[in-house]
Amino acid sequence: MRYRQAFALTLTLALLMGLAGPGQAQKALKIFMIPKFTGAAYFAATEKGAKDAVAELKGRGVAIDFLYTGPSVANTDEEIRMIDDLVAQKPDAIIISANDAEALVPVAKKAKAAGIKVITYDADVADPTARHWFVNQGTFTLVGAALVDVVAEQAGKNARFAVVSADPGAFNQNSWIAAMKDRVAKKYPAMKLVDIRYGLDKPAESFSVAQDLINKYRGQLDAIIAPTSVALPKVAEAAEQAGLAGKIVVTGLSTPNDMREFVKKGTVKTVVLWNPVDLGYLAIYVAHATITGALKEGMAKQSVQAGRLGTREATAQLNDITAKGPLTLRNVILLGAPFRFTKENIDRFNF
Amino acid sequence: MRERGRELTIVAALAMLSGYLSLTQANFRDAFTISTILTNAAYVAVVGIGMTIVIVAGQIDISVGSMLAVCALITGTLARAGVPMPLVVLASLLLGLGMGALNGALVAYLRVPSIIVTLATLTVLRGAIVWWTKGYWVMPLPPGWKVLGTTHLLGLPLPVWIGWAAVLAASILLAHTVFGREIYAAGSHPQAAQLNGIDTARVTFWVFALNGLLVGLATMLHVTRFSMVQTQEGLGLEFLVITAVVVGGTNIFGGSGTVMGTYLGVLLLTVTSSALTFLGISATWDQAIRGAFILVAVTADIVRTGQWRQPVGWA
Repeated sequence: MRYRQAFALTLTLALLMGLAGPGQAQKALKIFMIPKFTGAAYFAATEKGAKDAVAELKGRGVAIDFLYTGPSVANTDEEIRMIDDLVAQKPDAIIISANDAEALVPVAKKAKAAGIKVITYDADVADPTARHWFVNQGTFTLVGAALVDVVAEQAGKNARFAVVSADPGAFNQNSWIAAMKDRVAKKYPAMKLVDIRYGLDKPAESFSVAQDLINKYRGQLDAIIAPTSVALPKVAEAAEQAGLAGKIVVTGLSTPNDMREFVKKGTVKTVVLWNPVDLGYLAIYVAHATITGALKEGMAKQSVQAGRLGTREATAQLNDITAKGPLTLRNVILLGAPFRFTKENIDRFNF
Repeated sequence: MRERGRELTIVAALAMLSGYLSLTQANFRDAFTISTILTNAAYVAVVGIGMTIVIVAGQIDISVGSMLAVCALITGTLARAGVPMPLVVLASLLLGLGMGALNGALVAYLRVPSIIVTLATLTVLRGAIVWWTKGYWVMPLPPGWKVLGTTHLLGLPLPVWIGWAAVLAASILLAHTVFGREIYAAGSHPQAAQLNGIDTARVTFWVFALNGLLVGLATMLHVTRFSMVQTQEGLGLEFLVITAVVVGGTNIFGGSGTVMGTYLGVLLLTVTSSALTFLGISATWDQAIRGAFILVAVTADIVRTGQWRQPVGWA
């Protein structure tokens, strides 16, 4: 049990430091962070942000025993079991990214009932009353709008664009597309979404539908948005092979590591996502503010001071657009506008 | 010849579909569009050749997509480690051959039904990929990686020519060699083949090994068109390929079928898929149309051979 050993070590070190530090009357806060799985650069980036925040708070005299641990691969049962074990150690707060929104509700409720502050980040649990706050990396509304804004800036406000999505039934993708349509209707009336095609999150299919779009609308298509990381590199590849690199705007949702080459070559000028370092960083500040009582569940008009990010509003109700209609998010702290990865900043990120 | 009949039917369907698209869509009759369709069909066709041979021999292999992903990710890793491309291609062929031989050995010598063996390898290989890559794609790849996939010869990319050569070679193998006749014999009536001195276990083993080898070749035709290898490569490929084989006139119960029929089946599916975009038909129909193709083709086979008169049961 590596995480147990790591925890024991952390505890021992904390104990030693506690003994060595005279005048440190205050007990260290115990905060555990449990990502969906630990083997991914994305979650490692959230860990880095969390550790930055822990170090900053320490500098301000707030001692925190911080532990980042989770299943090595995405595994709901393993995650529940680990949270159960961690809850038994009576931390002040746990920060969770849920592998399964429904399945993690009971264990989150149990932790909350035990007096532990429960924060979700990256992936929420299905029941908002099972946790205190959800640190949201970007609503469908914000992400959809950001993608359309990139097209408007790079291809003009009367651009004709197409979407290469995942599966026709994919909820996230369909919700982003709904938000794109909303943005076009409200802000860019001259812009037109001409076609939506589906690559089924298979590389070969994503590539061939991108080719079909390019071939069909040759010269009459200004941009393609791929709101799925499997399709985005294949759309870029199709644009390159059709001799349209730099002539057709390609953008979408992906990570810097997956798209680095295309961004450096200029085939894709902007990749939209959020900054997971900031997400982990904000989650710690939210956890801390919830422990101290600075953030109270259910109260309107609150905010959290999040170090280098500045102030973030805590909202009791936040409206979002989804594929199944409007949705009200409860007790949410929003990370902010989606992040744009470009040639200039992409090398600062490794996830 | 019944196979010729099916081939002519597909040629007619292809001609009608392509003709309609060419007349109504100026951008469809563009040389680049045709080249992309032929290139996208090439690697599917090469996997289809292997699948045709396996099905003619009375077996099935649903692990082709996973095998392709394994070949793709390992060869990508080798290329990144500086292994010269000719050796990378050789590695893909040997890797495919090895995985196919494993399937073949389990089916031929342990007598495990091929649907079970290859369902297991399909799952085990995918699992191994997740464990090994942790979801990370293989990239960046060295500049030489894309030479095979993107070099043009007489206006068409190399994969198209290699695909055609493979179709030709496999057609000759099936129609004009002893091994070819043994495959048909083993598939149409295994007991009779055995009585006639054909070692059906050996035939079965080599059919799977050959299929693996062809997956190794197809991998190279496919992934060398791209600047990264994604872990999702090959997902669902078995469904596409088996559809093409059945549409192309190969009897799903074994014993008959041609590689040319399969190639035409692959082309028909590829053109249909592009036609949906060109004609603005909702993409949700793509799967349904593929399913309908299978149903029509298999029903036609069963009605024609009188199989519907026989008791219900697999083969």
